[in-house]
Amino acid sequence: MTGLDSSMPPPAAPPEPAPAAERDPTLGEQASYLSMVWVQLKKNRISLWGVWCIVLLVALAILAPLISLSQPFYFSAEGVTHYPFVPSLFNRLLFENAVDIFFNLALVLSPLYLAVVLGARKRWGARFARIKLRLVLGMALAHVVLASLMLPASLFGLKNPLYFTEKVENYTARVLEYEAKGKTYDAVFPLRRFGYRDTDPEQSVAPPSARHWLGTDYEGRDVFARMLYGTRISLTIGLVAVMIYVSIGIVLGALAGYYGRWVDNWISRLIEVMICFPSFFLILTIAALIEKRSIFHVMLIIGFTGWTGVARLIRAEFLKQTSLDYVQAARALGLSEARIIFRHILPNAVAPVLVSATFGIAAAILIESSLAFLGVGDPSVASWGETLNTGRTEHKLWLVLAPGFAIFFVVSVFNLVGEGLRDALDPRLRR
Amino acid sequence: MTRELLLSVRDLKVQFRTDRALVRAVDGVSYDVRAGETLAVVGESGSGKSVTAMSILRLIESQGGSIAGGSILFRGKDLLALSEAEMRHVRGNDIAMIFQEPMTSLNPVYTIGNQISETLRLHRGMSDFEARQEAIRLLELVNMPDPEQRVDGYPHQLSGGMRQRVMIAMALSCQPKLLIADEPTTALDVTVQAQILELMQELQERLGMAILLITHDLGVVATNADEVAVMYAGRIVERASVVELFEAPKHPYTAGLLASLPQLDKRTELIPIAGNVPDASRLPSGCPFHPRCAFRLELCSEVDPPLEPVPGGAARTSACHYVKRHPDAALLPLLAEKRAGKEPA
Repeated sequence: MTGLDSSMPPPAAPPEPAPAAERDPTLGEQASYLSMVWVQLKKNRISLWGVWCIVLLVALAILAPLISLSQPFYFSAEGVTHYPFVPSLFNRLLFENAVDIFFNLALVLSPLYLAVVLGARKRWGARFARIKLRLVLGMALAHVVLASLMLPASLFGLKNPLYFTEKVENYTARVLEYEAKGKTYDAVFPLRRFGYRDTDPEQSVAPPSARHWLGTDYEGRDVFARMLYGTRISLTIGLVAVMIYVSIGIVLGALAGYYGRWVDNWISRLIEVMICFPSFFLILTIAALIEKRSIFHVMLIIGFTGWTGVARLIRAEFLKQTSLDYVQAARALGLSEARIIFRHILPNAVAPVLVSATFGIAAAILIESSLAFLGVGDPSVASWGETLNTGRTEHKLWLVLAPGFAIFFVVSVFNLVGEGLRDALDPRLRR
Repeated sequence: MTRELLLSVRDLKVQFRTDRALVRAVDGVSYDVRAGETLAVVGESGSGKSVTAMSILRLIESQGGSIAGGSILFRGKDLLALSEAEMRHVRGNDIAMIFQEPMTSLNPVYTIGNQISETLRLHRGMSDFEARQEAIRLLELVNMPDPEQRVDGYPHQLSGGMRQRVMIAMALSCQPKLLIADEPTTALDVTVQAQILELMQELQERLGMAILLITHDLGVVATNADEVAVMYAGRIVERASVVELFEAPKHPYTAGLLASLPQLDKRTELIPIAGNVPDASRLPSGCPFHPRCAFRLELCSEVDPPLEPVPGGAARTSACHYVKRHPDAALLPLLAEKRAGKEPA
């Protein structure tokens, strides 16, 4: 098997049909569906640019503490050296939210993950291409499990195992103090010295300056830091909400499309009832009714109201696919219905959902921002919409421009990628 | 030489419920398939031949039909009495099926090797590696060129004939006792048709399986079948061995089918069967073929003729009042005469 693989052409080989007598480069792993989509997507320059922007956004979200945090990587004075940066990433006073814990853990573990990927690549060579996707997905899953370990702990009032420090040393103040007294010290800080929850009491609604690049909000919090950490919230909202509603939509749509008859009848009616609700006002009402709102409530609400489109798409695809002979052939081979539905039909039906999910991420981000703007978001997180709202009440341009641009940018980027994906998946537009 | 009785369909009735009516797609069909032999089921579209075949695997429910009566004995056990889980074990393992449309009968998102080995892992408990080796061996068996490379290829990289070979390889993966081939060559080019038919015959000899060949193509019947059952409007109208059938058809419908077949050695005019297959929800009274029949008697529109033995071969049966009255009538020449007689008028 490895002998066969090692003779495979590199993944970048153009997928052109070759003479049948020679080794056909269209044969083999690089012709798999995802890589075909990727090849198509790459042809669309704007979408490719969008993909890189998303990569950049994810990188910013993970690396945010390296860019802006009050805690130095290391601080040495009076013969004592501290390394407060890593512990502070799991400090309840600095980062309370599960989303932050998730990303901070990713930051700490990213060298490990990189090592695993590079190591696997070195160890398995050509076979790596085959397991790449599974490896990355497996690590992502492991990471989610690891990060969510904190949730049950805090639900039962237990101390979060990840919070191993509960006090915050004000290194910024110490630096000022040392400088004023002319004492020597040695410290390396992140690029900016503000966390998104750090307040600067004398600087409420300050205009942009060298100290606060994008100014401060009403409570004197650094807008730049809030924009930066807001990336985390937006990406998580988009991804999680869409994952929730895609899962619901896939299951209901698949059941309706595969079994038809009364199952289809009931699910279709349910979809119609759901569609009748003006969804934004439904979301707004539910959000307003929840007393202690967290960002996860917002994700769940968007997730549980947004599935109708996906269910319809999947149902339509299933109706089409179920009549094809390969489904009948799978039945004739004695495969179970669950296997036929999820392993055989679903991969053939999921393409339009991929496109709609990409647009859905943009829509979910917009909904979250709107909720925060209207004051029914999660007040403990750095939401762009909330800053925008402060800008509105304070009539300050910098408080409107920064989050406005951030929302505009992220939403457009996801929409651009969605457009590209739609074209890439459309066989009629292929070459 | 009598071989082991493998499949025995008795008085099978299948119906479809539509908004307007209850359609009896199959009405009292019985036939036997013996180990190692090929039974061809012939008939026009809508005659119920595919529905019968799908009922054997109990796949007709998923298409909206239901089995209303009869029994399907496979090696002595009634398939209609099995649970769904037991039935899944029969499918693919004991009885396999290949379909008409090779372009859509393979899943486009998985490699060929992946699809062949899925059955192997499921029914024969093979490991990934064993299943892959076995898939390559099966592809060799169906004369696929470059099996070691093709095993990693996707269906869209193959021609229709190649895909049908893959389908056959999949069907053969668990060495079934019975292969149901539902119009296996209809969608293929003529030259490819011949190759596939030859392959099926060769594999049958090598593996000793029985084939239930469903087709509307009498040419395919002539080359591949041992026994023939002719179906019309959901019932069998004639049963014979292939030689007997082609020599002297004993049912006007069979005669009509043969007369509408072009022949290379004689430049005779083709005689089509007048009219169309009746709508299964509104069958004519009596014999369902009587409105189109050239040999129609008065009795035909009143009484549905039963399938009864006729002279001319062992176990030959025909369902026709005319043939019962004139057992030795040569229907084919008579048909040509009647046609010629009608022409000037």
